[in-house]
Amino acid sequence: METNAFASLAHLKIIIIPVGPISKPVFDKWSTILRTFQDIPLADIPPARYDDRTRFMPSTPSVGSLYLTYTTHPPPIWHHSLALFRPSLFPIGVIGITACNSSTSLSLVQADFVRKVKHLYPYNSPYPLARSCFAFEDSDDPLQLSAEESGVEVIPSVLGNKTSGHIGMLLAGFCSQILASFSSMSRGLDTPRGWEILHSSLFPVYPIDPEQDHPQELTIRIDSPRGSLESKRTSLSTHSSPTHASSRDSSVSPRPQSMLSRSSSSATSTTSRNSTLLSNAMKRQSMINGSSPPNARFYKILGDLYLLAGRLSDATSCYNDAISLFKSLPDPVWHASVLEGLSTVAVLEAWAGSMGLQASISTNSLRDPWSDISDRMSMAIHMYFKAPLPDGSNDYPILVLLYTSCVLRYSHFLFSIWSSNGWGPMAFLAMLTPALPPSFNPEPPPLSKKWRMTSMTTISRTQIANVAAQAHGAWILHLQPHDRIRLFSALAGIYSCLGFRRKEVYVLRELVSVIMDLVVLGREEKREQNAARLGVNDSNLSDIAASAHVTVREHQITEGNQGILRLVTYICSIYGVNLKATRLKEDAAQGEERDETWEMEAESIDFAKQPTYGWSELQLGVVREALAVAESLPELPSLAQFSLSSLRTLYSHLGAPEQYSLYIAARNAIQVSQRRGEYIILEYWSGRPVVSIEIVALPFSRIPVEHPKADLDPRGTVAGPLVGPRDPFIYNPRLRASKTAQTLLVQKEPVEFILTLQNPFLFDLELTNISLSTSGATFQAQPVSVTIPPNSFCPVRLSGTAEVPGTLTIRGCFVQTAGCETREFLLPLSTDEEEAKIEKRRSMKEAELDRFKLTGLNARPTEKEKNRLSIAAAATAAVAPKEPAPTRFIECKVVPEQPLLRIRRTSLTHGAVMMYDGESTTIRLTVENVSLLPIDFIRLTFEDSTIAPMQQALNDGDLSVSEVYETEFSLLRRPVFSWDRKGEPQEVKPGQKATLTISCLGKVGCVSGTMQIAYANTRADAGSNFFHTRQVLYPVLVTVNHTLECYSMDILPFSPIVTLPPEDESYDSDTNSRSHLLEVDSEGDWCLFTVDVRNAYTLPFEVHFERNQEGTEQVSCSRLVPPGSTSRITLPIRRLCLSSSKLTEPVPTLSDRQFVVSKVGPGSVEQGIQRELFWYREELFNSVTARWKEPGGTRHGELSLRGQRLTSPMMQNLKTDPVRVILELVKFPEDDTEGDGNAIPPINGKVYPLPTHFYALRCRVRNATPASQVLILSLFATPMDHFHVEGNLTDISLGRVEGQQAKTFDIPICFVAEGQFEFVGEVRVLGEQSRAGEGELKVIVREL
Amino acid sequence: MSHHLFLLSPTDIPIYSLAHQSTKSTTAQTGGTLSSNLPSWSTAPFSGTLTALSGAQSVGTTSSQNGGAPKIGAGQDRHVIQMIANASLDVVEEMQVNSSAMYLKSIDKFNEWTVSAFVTAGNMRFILLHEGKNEEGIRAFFVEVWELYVKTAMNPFHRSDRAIRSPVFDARVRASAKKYL
Repeated sequence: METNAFASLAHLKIIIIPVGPISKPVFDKWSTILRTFQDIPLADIPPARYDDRTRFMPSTPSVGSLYLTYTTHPPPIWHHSLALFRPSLFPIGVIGITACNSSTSLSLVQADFVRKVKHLYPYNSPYPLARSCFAFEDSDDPLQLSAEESGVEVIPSVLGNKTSGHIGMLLAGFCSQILASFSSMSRGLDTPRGWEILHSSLFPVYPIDPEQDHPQELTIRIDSPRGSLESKRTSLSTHSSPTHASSRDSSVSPRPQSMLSRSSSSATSTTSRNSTLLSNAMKRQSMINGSSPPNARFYKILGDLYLLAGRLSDATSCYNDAISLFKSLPDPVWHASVLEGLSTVAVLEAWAGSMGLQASISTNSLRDPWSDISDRMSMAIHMYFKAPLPDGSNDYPILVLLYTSCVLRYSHFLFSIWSSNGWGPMAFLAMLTPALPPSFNPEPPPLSKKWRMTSMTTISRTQIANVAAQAHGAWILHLQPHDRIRLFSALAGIYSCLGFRRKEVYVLRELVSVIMDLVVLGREEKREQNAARLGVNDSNLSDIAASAHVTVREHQITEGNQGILRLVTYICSIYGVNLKATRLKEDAAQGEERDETWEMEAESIDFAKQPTYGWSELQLGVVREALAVAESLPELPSLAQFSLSSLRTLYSHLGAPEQYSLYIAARNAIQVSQRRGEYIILEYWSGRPVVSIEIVALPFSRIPVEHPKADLDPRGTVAGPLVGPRDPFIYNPRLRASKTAQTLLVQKEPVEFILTLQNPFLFDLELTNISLSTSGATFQAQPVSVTIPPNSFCPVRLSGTAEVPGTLTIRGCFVQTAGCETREFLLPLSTDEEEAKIEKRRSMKEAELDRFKLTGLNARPTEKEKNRLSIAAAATAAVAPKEPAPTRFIECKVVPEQPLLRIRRTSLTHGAVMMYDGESTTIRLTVENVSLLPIDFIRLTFEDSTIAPMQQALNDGDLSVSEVYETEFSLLRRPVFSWDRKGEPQEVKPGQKATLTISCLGKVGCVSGTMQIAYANTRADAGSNFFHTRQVLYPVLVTVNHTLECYSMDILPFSPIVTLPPEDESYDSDTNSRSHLLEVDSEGDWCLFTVDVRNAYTLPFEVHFERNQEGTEQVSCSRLVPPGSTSRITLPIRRLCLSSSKLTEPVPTLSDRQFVVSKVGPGSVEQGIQRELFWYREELFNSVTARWKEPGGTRHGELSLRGQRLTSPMMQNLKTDPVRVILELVKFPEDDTEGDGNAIPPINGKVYPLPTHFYALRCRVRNATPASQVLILSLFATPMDHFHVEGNLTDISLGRVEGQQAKTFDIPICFVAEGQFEFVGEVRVLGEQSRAGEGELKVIVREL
Repeated sequence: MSHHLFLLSPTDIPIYSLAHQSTKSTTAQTGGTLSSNLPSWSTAPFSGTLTALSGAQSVGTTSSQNGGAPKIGAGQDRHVIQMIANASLDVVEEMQVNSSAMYLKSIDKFNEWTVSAFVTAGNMRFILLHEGKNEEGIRAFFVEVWELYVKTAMNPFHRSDRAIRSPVFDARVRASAKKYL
């Protein structure tokens, strides 16, 4: 490639070509060695032999050097019109490199070389001025052929290390040859005809005409037969050209020549000095002699040649002459070129001046040392820009080329100074070489250094960029594609070095379009050629191909394509679009290990909320262009990659059709390439499709419940229905534990999962394969494919089966789209802490959306990521690496296979049972084991609608103690359903049935109930401490009819003399039984229990009350209660006396539930009464049982008396007094000998004494309590008169009576009238007001 | 004489853009001879991009008939202007470090366009592409746009990386453009 170095005008260009049989590595090796000779000191150049050829030879004490550049490509053909205008553009010399050994025919090599050289240059080119073929020996055996004969320089391998030096010498000779040719060239022009030619057009062409005798060399060269020395010699002799003699000399025998140059350097010095003088003289002479006006163009060419030859002072003088001439005769283009040349000279002079002393060249002038050059260059640019060209001129491309190269030269100049921190040797070096300055090698300096460069040089980057921007304009269209590419790449290079990435990218876009133009045009040409070649027959085919825009890749070399794609990717990345966001498989393999968790986190954050960057319109533009490039190359993998990446990064800016077309383009690209056999695999691209994953709960009948095996042991207490749904504890640690319990799955039974997928795009996203990613227990999952509708969430059901018991971890799921790699998305469970952290980060990100910490290109997502990573790396380096917390996933426990039970049939119709209140029936359930495992454990639990309200009441705690007891009693002792485990089947074999019997009690208010059958195969998991049960629920509808109700229970005092109520007369049939009932033995006290029974139903019922009291005979009483009527039941009951120890016992609780201690103190009277009432009531209900029966039917049940209250008066009647008082009338003995008189036996509860007889009223007081008490007796009589007593009747002190002892007190009495008397004896305990006991006596006094 | 105004957020997001045709005629730049006599259009699919990007006139009319690159074509001109505005950010970024002034006058020249810029304290860049020289007018214009922008930005619901859609803002900027440009 041509260089854009500032000093390229001073560069001698040499082209190196491979000749003959030479392998590429060998060629590369030698050409690299050759390329190390960047400059050759003038002192090393061997002088020419003849004076007329020494015009450009270095003067002896000269210090400068020749600057060589090497290329491998000849300039394009249209540059040849610049052959005279700008000789430095062309390779002036040709060096062929060949490898030779003993078998190589050097003459053939030479022939090949000549032929190749001929192809390099057009016929009318004056170049090359020198050529040489270097043959490098590659074996030790010396070459047999004489080098003389072939014209090839043979570099023997024996030279070893000295080869390089030898090549240097050869090169010096070669240069000398070139310089010599310069003289002949200038001489050729320095004639009237030459001047004429120079002025013939703006860019004159070197006259090549076989008839012309001036440019003899060329004719010779063109005519020269292939490698034949003889013919050359003859041609030499015929044309008598000494130039060629010298060239022949140097090429044929280099060694003597170079030796000569060394030895005779002092000798030639004079001649060369003479030559300078001579040339000056000639110049003047030509000016004087010239028939045409003073030829400024000729001086310009001369100056160019001097510059190339390293003779700077001569060049300067020539240029100055030219300028002075141009002042009178404006010729802007040539003038501008002179200015360019002068600038180059100035730099070279400065370089030569600073050679030895690296130090200060700092001038004391106020202006920058380079301001002269700057002025000249700007002027040159201006002149090129304004140069007039006639309309229709063909010189536009050349002029634009000159203009742009001048602009580039100037910008390179400024850039060199800037990048070398100022005007100095480094800058000069940078200007001389096309390579990057050392400060940019191997990598560009950071921005801070660039600032420093600016501050040291006072050249700002903007300044350089502005200069470079002058090259850019519509005129670029004039340039040939080759030159455009050069220009754009040079511009891009400058912008890139300056760090102006956006500008660089602008130019690169043009560059890509130029290259793509060439690619497409080339392909079309080829197609036309093919069509032509194929002829008429196949034209249809080609038509089809052409019409369908099928791009066919001609060959499989993709390097060029990759280069273009790299450019495109770079362009997009500067605009903030990462075209590699979706990676190809091979990229991914070598790609850096991405921080998986972070990525996941980032993606899980709704990626529409990602901070945006950049100019969306531009982004869309470059992306479209990139896709067009990839499509027309065609580079299918990249096309797929680009479209998917841009879809992913830009989808928020794209409309639905565009998104869809991108998606389709990618899919087609993948399909086409698969059809072609190249399997491209892309990374999964559509963000994070999986939002969440959930296990679908098993159907209730399949849920296993875990129990410890210890539960199998029979225990005393069974947790009854008292344990309500509400936990009595405010904090229950066990409940927490159960909350985090794992989900239980059953081995070999299908499980379902629900995945929530999202599609942020505006088209139907097709996921070809979704499957679960699990670890732990083996899991068989069925993959599914799904199409998610645009911009929505979509739940997907996945099912699978766990094969082995154990722990199953659901890590996430695998997702695949068409043509893309399967990707695993992890769905970890995050703890609350992590959730909080993520939430915090998300909110931070959202807050940062509006704040700009990074601006411009640094804010690009990729840059941000880099930044973040480097910060993270620094952080991890600073802090000791923390062990990352293990990620947790959804875990399930897979339990061994479980049996399955189902209810086959029941004894109920429609699952409903209808009962009377208090009735009890049985329900039979037939269950069947439908699994292959035996069931060896069955438990039934029940639930009914009465339980919950009662539990609620209990839990509310507003009930009194006895109410609590009642409720608990109802719950525990009288449940609606109950099941007796005994006698029921304990095991159900596979496929067999079993019948369960459940008894059922009708309770008013019960409307429904549920039977829950828990069953298990306890031997299934023998190893573990747990077993699992499953449950079958059987709901029952219950209807309980309200039938009989008891109310107004009462207990009345009863003595056997009570006369039957008159209304009883009507029940004649019952009279007997009833009177029989009342016939109780008078031993002990009795009371009468009465209760009303009402029949609220429409059928009669027979009630049956039964007394079952200790010490009395069992008595029962039955009554038929007609519908709607009420019957009173009476039953005598022996009065009770409960011991005080019994009475002080607290009201028991039937369950072990907690209860609130009453606020009342333990010893309070109220509590005592309460307990007393409770215990007496219990005793009463123990003695009296009630049941009912359907008359003539089988239905029966019990009648609950528990709704009845026992009041305090009733209790008084029920319980016996602590002291018993018995009053008797004793006939007073008439004489003392008879001793105690006998008591008059009562008749029908009454005694019949005689009036005016003496009797004794005997009071027998018995202390029934165990403690001794001091008792006081009072007697009350009605009427008070008509009898006489001895002593006082009231407050008779009986003294202390021991426990269980009796005392008798007699009061003599005499009735003085006939009639009825009643005596009531009351006993009080001393100090207490209430009576402790009572007795009465009815006396009827009458005469016999 | 056309002007193109872009308000760019610190992350290079355009939040407002305006194309303004000025009736005032300033001294048109005398172009060089180089850009005259341009060659006729190539039929190659990608040549449209080059013609547009290089600043050759009358773009966007030709490329529609080429099937190869249907997506490139009409509206290219505007795209190029955006590209130039975007590219000039490089220079703005350099200049704003050196200069304490908010108004950076004609900092960049590209093709036929001159670029003037104004950088607010919040690093919001106003980029104006214009052809003629009108330094004082542009300064006044920028200051007014700045004031309008600040008023818009005071809206608590305004986010600095979201486009300004306020019709009031638009109308006032247009009025200001008519006044000064």
